[in-house]
Amino acid sequence: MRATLAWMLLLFPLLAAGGDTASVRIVPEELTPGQPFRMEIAIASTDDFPGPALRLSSELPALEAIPLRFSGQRMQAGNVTTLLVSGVAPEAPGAYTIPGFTATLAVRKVQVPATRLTVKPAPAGAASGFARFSIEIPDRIFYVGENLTAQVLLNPGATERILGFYGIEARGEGLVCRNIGQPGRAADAPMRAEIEITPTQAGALELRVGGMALVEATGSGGSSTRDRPFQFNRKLRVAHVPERDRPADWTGAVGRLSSGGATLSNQRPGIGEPTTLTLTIKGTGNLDRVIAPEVPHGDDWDVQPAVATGSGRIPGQRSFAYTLIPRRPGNLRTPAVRLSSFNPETAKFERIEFAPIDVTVTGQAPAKVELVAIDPSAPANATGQPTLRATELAEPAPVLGRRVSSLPLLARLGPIVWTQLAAGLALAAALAWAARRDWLARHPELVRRRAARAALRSARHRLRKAERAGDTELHAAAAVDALRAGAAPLVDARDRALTAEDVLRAAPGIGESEAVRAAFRRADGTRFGGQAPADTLARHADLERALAHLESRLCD
Amino acid sequence: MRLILMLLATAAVHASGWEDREAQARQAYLAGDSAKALETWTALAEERGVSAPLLAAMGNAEWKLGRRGRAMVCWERALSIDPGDPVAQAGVAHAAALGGVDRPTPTWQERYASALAPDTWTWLAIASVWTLLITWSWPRLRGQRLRDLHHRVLLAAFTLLVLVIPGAWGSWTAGQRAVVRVTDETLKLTPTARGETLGQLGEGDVVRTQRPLNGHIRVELPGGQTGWVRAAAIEPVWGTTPPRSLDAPGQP
Repeated sequence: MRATLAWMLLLFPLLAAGGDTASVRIVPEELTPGQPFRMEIAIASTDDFPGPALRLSSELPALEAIPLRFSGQRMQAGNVTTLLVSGVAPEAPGAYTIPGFTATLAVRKVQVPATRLTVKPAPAGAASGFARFSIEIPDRIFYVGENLTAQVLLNPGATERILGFYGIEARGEGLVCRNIGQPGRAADAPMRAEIEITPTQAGALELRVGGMALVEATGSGGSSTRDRPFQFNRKLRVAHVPERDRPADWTGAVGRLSSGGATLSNQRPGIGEPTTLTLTIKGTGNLDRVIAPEVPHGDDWDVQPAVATGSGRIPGQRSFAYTLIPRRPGNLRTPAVRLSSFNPETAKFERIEFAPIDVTVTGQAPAKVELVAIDPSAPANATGQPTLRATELAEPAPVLGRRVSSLPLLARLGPIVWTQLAAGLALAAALAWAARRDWLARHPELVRRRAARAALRSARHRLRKAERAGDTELHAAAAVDALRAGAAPLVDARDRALTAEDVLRAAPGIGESEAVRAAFRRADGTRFGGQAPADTLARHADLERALAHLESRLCD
Repeated sequence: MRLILMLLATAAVHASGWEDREAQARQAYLAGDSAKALETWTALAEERGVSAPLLAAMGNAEWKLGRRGRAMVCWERALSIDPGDPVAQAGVAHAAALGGVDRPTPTWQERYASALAPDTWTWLAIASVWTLLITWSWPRLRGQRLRDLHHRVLLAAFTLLVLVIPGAWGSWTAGQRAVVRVTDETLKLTPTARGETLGQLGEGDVVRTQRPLNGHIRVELPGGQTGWVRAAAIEPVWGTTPPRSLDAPGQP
């Protein structure tokens, strides 16, 4: 315990040495709507100096109501440094909170606490002539890959004049942003800053645009310039270019694009003489990413791959140059070229077409135009003829052949296998039944024994019922029926013809001969005028044993 | 009666419309406008269903538009429906010789199977097996002995079965292939995202497919090398639709 306390006393100065204390002060403390203010974040360190702030601009909370901008850092004696942040009070009176954040300094990170801000209503009659900033973004669904333009409008106020702007930053996950700058404007129009934004993924993407405006206050006490930060947070709804109705030749062009015309460098070339076909696409959209439409080789022209010309020189325009080489003389037309673009405003695909140009080709045709591809790297054979590697594609015949709506049977084997297995099992069952039928036909004694066993069991059932009911007549009749049925197959005789002695001969080991005879006497005595009827109920147990013996003989 | 006539008339109008559009598409193809021809054929395939000549023609147009993977899928599917389609045969031969597309050498069973459509082989196999079984079992079920006619039928059915088995097997193995649809696909040692690279596959290459695992499929290359590729990077040759769209959601 004592050692632990000693260690804690030793470690306490070390643990306490790295502590930084950050305090925030708003200047001025009393704010009116729209009033600029300065946030001073004083960081006092008990250890060495924490260093300069590295990326405070991106660490400050992005609040549209209270735009904040890092404007500098002040070093003071005693390892105290102050981060200066410019801000603008919200437009509505009330109490606001600037959330806490972590400031990254060169040596370590410092946690800045949340700060409360109170905006009081402006005094009656006070001028509210601060400059106002706003952002304009089209209100629609945007599409992945398109170029959209956001405009920041900097409107002067009665007491503030806009001198310029700087440090505009636009960022957002899934967005590629490019600061274009200030477009041309009329003298009395407000100043604008344009940002080009390209979504790279679908969903609800958050765009954050911030910057600083340099304003000149024109109050009664003269003029002074100051920085005014602004911040805008917007959600952009971005979708993928739809796959429905997407043309096969669409290669990613998104925008309001149209044909700017096609020109040919020489409309009277000689045969084999290269001529340049220039196609121009104009409009607003992702022109930089438009891929040159393919112009296929034909019987009349050899076409070299397109080259983009004058890219970026003229805004809103892109040109592609194709080298065409005529293959035969005469009045020809250049190939018709077209491509598709997706118009994000109408959400529909549009076609851009370049009409063919009439050309008169002079000169003589070669003897034969080879349409068979030749491998230039293949060595010439002995005859000097080039090696042909393959024929051309075959021309398609009429294509309305037999329709196919389902996969081959082999591709969906499950149902077929189960059906065949079920049918096979049914056939196997039928064959097993037939085999058993034939076997029984070859062994009729088995059938007879089985029938006798069934008759014996039925008669035993009646015997027991009669015993329970105390009916002697029925009991004797059931016993005799059972004895005859069980003994008949053993002597190969008809059951009706058997007497008690026949039964005893058929089953010598039956043992209960008196009970058997008594049953026969009771059942048949009156019919044949024999001795006085015996009471078989008293011999029920003996009869049961005799019948069990007979049944076991039938099961042998 | 009137209803039947109306239905027949509607069908005739549809058929003539399809024929007109098909003719326009073929003219556009012959004039070099592969994109327009492909659009029309694709629309026909969606409305009417595919056929071997239609898929073969679409393969030609796709090839001329530079889409090797889609072209190979079209041609291979056309051949799986009708192994004798001349346009698809020429397309596959052209792609293999000039286009640099790798395709497994057909086995003798696959060459034999190309004489008939896969379904024909399947039905012949089923018919011959059941003819054998029923001819052998029917007299037994009736308690009779096999007669001379039964023996003749058994012999014929057995002969047919022996002839059909290689064809059905060849059709099956020919269907267990797929076309690489992406430009550069990596053949990996293991079916994992960071599996060791064994080689590269090009768009349009045809591979033999084996078992799937973990979003990958084990494949055998024409040279005999085996490995794993992403299941999304290949498309099976068996199908009754045009090739699927590979446009990744993130790429317009």
